[in-house]
Amino acid sequence: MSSITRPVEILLVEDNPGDVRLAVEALREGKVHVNMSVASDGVEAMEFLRREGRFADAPRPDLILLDLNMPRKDGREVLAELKADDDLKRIPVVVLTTSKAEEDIVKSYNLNANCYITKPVDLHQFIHVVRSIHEFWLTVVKLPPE
Amino acid sequence: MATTAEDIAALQEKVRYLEGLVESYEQTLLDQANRLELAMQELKQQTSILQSVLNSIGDGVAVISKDGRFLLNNPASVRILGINVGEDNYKNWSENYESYRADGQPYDPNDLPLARAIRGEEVDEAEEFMRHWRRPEGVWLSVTARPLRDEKGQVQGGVAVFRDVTRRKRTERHLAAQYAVVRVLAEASTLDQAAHGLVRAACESLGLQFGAMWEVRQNLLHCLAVWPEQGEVAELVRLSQSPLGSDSRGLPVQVWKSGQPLWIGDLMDEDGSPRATAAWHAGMRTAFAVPIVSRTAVTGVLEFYSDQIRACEPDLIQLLGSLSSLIGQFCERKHAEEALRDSEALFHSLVETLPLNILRKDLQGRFIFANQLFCKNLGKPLNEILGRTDYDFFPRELAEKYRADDRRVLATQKVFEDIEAHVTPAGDKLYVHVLKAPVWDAAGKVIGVQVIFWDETARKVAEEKLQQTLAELARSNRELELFAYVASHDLQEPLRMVSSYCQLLQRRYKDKLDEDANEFISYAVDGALRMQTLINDLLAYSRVGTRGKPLVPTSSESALIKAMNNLKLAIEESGAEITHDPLPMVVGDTVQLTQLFQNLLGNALKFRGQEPPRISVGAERQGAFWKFWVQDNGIGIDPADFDRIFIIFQRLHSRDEYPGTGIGLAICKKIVERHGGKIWVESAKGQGAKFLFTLPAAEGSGT
Repeated sequence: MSSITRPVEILLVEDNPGDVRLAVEALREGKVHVNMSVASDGVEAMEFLRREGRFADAPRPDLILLDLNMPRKDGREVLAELKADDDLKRIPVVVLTTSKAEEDIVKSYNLNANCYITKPVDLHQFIHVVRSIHEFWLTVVKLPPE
Repeated sequence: MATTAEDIAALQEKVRYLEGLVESYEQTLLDQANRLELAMQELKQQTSILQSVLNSIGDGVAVISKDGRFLLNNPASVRILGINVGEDNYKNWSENYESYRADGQPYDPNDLPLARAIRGEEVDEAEEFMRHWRRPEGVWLSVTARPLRDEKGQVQGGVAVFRDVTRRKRTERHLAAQYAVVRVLAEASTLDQAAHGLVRAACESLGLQFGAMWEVRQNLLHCLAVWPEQGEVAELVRLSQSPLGSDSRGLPVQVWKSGQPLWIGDLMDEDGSPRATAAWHAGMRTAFAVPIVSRTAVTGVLEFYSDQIRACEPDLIQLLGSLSSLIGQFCERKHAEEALRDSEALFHSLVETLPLNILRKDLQGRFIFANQLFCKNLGKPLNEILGRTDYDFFPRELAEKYRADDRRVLATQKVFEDIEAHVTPAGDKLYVHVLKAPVWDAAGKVIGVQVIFWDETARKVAEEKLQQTLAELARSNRELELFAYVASHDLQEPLRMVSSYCQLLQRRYKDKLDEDANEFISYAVDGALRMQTLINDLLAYSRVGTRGKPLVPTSSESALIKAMNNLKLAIEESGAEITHDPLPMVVGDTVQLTQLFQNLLGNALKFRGQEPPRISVGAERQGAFWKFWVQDNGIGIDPADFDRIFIIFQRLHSRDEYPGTGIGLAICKKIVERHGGKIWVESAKGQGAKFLFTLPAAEGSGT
């Protein structure tokens, strides 16, 4: 499986450096070993995924962690573009956001997000969540070949 | 003695002469006797004719001698007078019989017709009312009397010819009474004014000694007038002063109750009511009364007394009946006039005091009526307005608009309503509300237009301002809710940073820092977590307004069941028993109703007493709403706190006793109010609480 042949690749799309660091720390605290790349907004995320410009050598992620509220291009637009792209639409997308708003949840699933998670305020819960994501999406779930 | 042949012859001659004389005397005597016989026979015949004439004529004839002896009275006189005066002496007439003149005054004995005749006077058709014990009702006579003179012209006696004119007199009296009553009624403007005159006129013209007029008011018989007001009848007058109830005895009340005339021929036979007794003592013998009927109801009673015992006189009752119906008609007319006057006064005062301009125009658009306000606003006196048209007072364009509106009303015969917007010369807005309606005459023909208009600027401006304020308020409310939503949403992010990194510090550097640092960090984390709860609650609170669903018919029972499912764990843990009636369909947002029940049930579980919670939920119809209740056996609420508990973040207990931010009931209140209902609580400390709220009923959701 992919996890055996090479390290797991995760793309975190998140504009807030604090959150990025928190995710990194949570992975570390959760003893989860992955390769994590970061895109700070939707535009960058799409360039990364399409290996454009400075991302020409970017790896294809096994999982995308997507924030919703970002400058330039927000998570909803990224999700829509991604899921309309035949090449990229199979990459599982976990929406990871502060919002608990019902319409955000509904909209995300309508845009074919694979799952929706509200970031917990409590660090321990956050670590637990990150670990769960890893366990579920990268070990339990059987993903399609590239 | 020397007797000669001559002597003899002479004697014989004398004898023959004497014989002849005797013979002729005899003849004469015989003749005379024959003539006398003839004359006697003639006289006898004449006397018999005269006698039979006297016996057969309808007029009474009486002859008296100079000293008053009745020499002759014919059978008609006996019939008319009711007595045979043959044995009387005319000089004692006034002692034996009562005699009155036409004006009601007793006759002076010297003025009686026959008394005047034997004084040599001639009397033509003198009226005399005569009464005696055998004829107590009396008789009216018309008497003509002449002196009887001998050949020398000396008065030897008198003759009277008389007839019974009672019927005529009575008719005259009745006519007089009717005339007097009509006159009084014609001059009076109210029954009160007329009453005294009526009673007096009736008594005087009918020769009655006492009369009273009664009026029914508030189911009592009130005396409006009596006549006479003093004298022997004083006690009767006094008794008339207090109103009579329908249960009291006596003549007036009997007539009032029965609505029928009543004649009491002899007061001795009456039941001894106070009035009858007083009347008897005042010398009254007969009483009678008739009802006054107006619009089929008895509205009064006319009551009369006579000092004679009189048998019922149907024509008098009939007369009084017609008088009382005149009075009844009078009352009806006066009522109608009064009502008309009242209504006219009412409409006049409305037309002149309402802050409305009122005017009428004829088919040609000429003013035919204008109230004072219109005159004032136009700045012209009424006489300068009537007969003119709109063109005389308003700019052509405006007058044409008015005329067009009038024509529309005339053509459609329908009310026309408009709010005209004008600009005053000073440049201010002026709104005028106009109502135009066709005017019909009695025959149903349209004869013009009635215009009512009033200045509605103030209302219109206020309305515009109100609309602005409402829009402003709605916008501000919306903004506020949006603000709360966005703020709480966006506050989460930095807060998460604070709490997460504090926790990271704690986790990673716990052993490298001292106890104080650990404590500080734990306070910071705790504060951040609590703030997050508050923000979430605020978010939930603002969502009631901003994220609510449309209100549609919804089953409140399924909302309750959903709420109970959501609380399943807490219910099981607390061992609560929740019972509920069948709950109705309401107009609502099912998500919010679930939250409403969930918060109330949650509270009931949370604030439980020593006993396991017993919660009952029910509803009953209340007009267009259903009144729901959620009743528990928990710790209850002090009535002083009833208002506080519905305010956001207000808590009655410390966090250690009962956790929570104090948002639950505030959200309940907001949900119920969004549905147009009310929420309140009935409770006492330690006695459980009963939360009640109303929600609009769905159509056809039963009662």
